[in-house]
Amino acid sequence: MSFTKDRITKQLENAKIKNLLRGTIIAAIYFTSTVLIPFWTFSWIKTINVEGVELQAYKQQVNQILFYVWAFGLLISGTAFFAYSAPKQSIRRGAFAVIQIILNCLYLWSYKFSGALEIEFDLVDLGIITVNLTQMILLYMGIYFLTVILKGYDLVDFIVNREKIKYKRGKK
Amino acid sequence: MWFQEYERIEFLQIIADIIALILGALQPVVTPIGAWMVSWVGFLLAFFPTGSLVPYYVIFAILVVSGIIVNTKWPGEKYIGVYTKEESERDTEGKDSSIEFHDDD
Repeated sequence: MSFTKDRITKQLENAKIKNLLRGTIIAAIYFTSTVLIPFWTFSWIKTINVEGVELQAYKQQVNQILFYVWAFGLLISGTAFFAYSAPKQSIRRGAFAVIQIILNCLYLWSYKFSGALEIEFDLVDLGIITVNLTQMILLYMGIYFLTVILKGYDLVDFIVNREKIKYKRGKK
Repeated sequence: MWFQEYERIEFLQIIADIIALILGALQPVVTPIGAWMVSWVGFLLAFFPTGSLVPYYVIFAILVVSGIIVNTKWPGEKYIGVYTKEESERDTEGKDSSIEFHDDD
């Protein structure tokens, strides 16, 4: 086998390993941030007792949010693995990046089931403070929409400039 | 008191003011978009199964396995410019080439 051919075969092997490693690391980060941390947090909330009394009223809500955390967390992590183990500027990476952002929107909105969007603080001798986070979530969702537009633009760019991208890759 | 210590860190207040300014400026435009997003996200959520996590595990497994297969078979690095057609023909003269140049990813 010639030196050039040997080098290319080796580079192809490296690309495979690099892609899969990148996908695994990013998927692990997503899994930690979208499943493990929220799961531990809400599981801990479930165990909270106020002066020995369990917060039964919130248990159903917490169970529901735990379900959505697992469900969408798994989908987001799987999509992240597929997207980030795909080559840079590839069409499949662009497509899965768009899907991932949409799943992020679903995941974020599913938090409304936790009741976390409206929190009440009862201050002794002072009254009640209600913090309504709905506006903030709407703002977040709007920003997510802009991200969807950006990722969509990337995808169109990858499709339209396919030949140019391939040529650049060849030059590397 | 701890909050008196906090008040002394002025740059935090400046950062908070800047963020509030940006968010405040974005709000009239972004919030209605967010409201529209919420409407279709709420609609879409109704179609996701809520009884069991099994479908989600299955989809996760499919995504990971297909990701491994697809991205191993088509890693996307081609080096067409490095390895020219002439070089390929010279290397494989009189024998079958073991390297194929795909145009896919």
